[in-house]
Amino acid sequence: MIEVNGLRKKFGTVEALSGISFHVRAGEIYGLLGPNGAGKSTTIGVLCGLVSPDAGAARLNGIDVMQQPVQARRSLGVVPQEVALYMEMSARDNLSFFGRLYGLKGADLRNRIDSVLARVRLDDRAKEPIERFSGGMLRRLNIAAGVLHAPAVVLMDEPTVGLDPQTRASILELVREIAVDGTAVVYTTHYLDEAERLCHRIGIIDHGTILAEGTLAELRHAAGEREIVALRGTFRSEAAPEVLRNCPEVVLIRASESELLLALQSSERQLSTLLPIAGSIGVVREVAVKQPSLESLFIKLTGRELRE
Amino acid sequence: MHASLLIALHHLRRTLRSPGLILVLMAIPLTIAGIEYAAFGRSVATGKLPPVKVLVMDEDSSFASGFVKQFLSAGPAKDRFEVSDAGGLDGAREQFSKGNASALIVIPKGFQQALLEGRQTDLILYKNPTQSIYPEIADSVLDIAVSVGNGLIAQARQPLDQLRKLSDEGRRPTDAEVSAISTAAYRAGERLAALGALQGIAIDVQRPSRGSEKTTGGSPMGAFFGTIFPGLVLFALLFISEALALRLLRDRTRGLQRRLMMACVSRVAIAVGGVIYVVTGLLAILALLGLVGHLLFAIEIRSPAGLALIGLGFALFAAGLQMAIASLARSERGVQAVVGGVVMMVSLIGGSFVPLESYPPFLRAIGLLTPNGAAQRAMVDLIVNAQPFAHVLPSVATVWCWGIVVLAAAVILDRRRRDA
Ligand SMILES: Nc1ncnc2c1ncn2[C@@H]1O[C@H](COP(=O)(O)OP(=O)(O)O)[C@@H](O)[C@H]1O
Ligand SMILES: [Mg+2]
Repeated sequence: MIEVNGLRKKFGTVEALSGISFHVRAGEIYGLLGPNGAGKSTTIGVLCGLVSPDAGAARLNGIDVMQQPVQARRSLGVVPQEVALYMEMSARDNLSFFGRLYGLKGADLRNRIDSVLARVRLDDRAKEPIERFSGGMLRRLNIAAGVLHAPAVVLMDEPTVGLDPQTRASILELVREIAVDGTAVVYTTHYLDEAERLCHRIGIIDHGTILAEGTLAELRHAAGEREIVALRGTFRSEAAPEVLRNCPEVVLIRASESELLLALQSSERQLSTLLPIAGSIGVVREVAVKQPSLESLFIKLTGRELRE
Repeated sequence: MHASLLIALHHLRRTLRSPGLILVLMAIPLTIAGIEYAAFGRSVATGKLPPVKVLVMDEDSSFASGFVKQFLSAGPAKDRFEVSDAGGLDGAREQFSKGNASALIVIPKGFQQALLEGRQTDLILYKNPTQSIYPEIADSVLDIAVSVGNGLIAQARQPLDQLRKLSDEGRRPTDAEVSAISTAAYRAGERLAALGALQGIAIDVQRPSRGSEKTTGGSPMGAFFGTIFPGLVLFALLFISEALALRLLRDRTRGLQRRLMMACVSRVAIAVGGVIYVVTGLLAILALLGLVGHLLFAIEIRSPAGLALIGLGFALFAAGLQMAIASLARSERGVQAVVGGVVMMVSLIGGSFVPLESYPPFLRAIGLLTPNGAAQRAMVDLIVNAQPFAHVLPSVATVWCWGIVVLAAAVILDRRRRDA
């Protein structure tokens, strides 16, 4: 559905893209995960014909975006990073205009507007000028305008930035529903948890390059990631490095009076030896094994943390 | 083409949804025409008009205020104004009630200081209330006066700079300096008057009688308005084109243009849609103003097809002008400043406020080469002088040339901007 091969783009001296390649299948949600300035929006820009790359090629639904830009965009829906809607018009009129641009009309257009409005839960506010909408409502309508024409490919550029957790969750749910219909989705984000929760496959991007790619499990494996164990209780934290020196497979991440945070190769095997050791420098009241996250992989690959 | 029409229609619908500024701008030609009629309409038949009596109250008593008075009575202006001293507010009130004066200009204390420091400053204009002019109308007059005043300041840069130097040095000027500054101020007044900026207040009224032997039928009132209204309408259309184009400019800064470019329409279709929007919008407004002119001012709309053709050429020019400026300027503010300046200049030179007949010959020749000068001439010839269309063909061709050239330039500039 989406084929991106060796995209390069320089803005003056800044190399925004230095050889980006990835493929996305129908029904798949592909996450482009990277910090600000990584090149996510530029990649999206190339795919929707706003940015012409210096090298490389991209095809949407088999159509080259550089050679046949208008045809390629026919099967494309874009949800831009900023809310781009006509504020003086109603939600319905906004959607109607975007639908017509893609050649929809008549009853078909009306039905699609109804169903997409219901899907983003704006059906009861469809007729009022959207000037009165809240930020979350505008975001939802922004998405609706991008997917109204049921495109085979949807590109979403950080659609949840600056939203409250509840609205974020509802938007993620919306994206899942869109993909279930067989749409190929590219979802860019700098939120690790979103990439983890939402995306079937993830490309970690920084400085215009995809540093690692795969399913969540594959990426974890690639990083050889350990499990994270938190021991809670009361500890003489300053003694922790000393007593753990004899356990080479255990890495101490953080030690405080109330918590020891450790990375283990296997919690099942090592916890039994670890608990007595921890007991020697304090009292263990609680053991929590955490799901490994992408975070350490990300730090390892990019040398920086993902922050807003 | 389908996409362009869709986009144009969409923009038109949005404009109808929030017309805002456009309604206000549409009122300009109606208001000014109303003022002119109120002021001169009845003496039109004789073709002669006594000078407008203006009282001046100088609270500042400075070089700059003297300059204002000199300006009002310098060169050709002295035939149109009869300036006299107000003798205080009470004196002015008395003159007003006796009908001896039409307006009072107050030069407030601190006027010169404000000019020197480059601060904004106001000349206060009181209209004689007994002469039955509504407050809105007075507002419009004041607006025009300010435009003229700003032109004046631009013209008087040199004497102002000399004054500022003197005041910075804090010493009394020598006799030689006094005379140099005064002369420069006088010359500035002359220059400005020659440019026709002063006539921009629309004091000159010889025009309707001039073509009177050619005027066929129609009421004298219709002929009067038929002469002045087209110029005012063209002037308003230029400003309205800005209001229309501003919407597209805002789309650009608010990511809406990007969103259109991401949809399955070509960039050409988007640009063409924008042009169609501005042009049809202007034509609709032209038609509306024409209708109002007909109903309100008894203007006879002769050869509507010819008028529409002129209007279309002019609308192409206005759309192109807006597009060109929008591709050059960096910010919304920049665009507004440039457009305001260009519109004012084109309108003054093209004789939107004062018919070109009253200009000196070489200025008149230049004026007829401007798009609005040519369009106005052609419209007046059709409406008032009942000329056949063939007669106005050269003027129509001038308008269309401007339209096509400016639009082409705009397209090239726009493409260059997008490639950059
Ligand atoms: N139009 C542009 N002109 C100049 N530099 C740009 C432009 N667009 C993006 N960049 C630069 O390219 C890099 C990648 O930007 P972007 O793709 O927007 O990153 P992201 O969306 O991942 O935050 C950044 O360094 C950014 O400053
Ligand atoms: Mg971005």
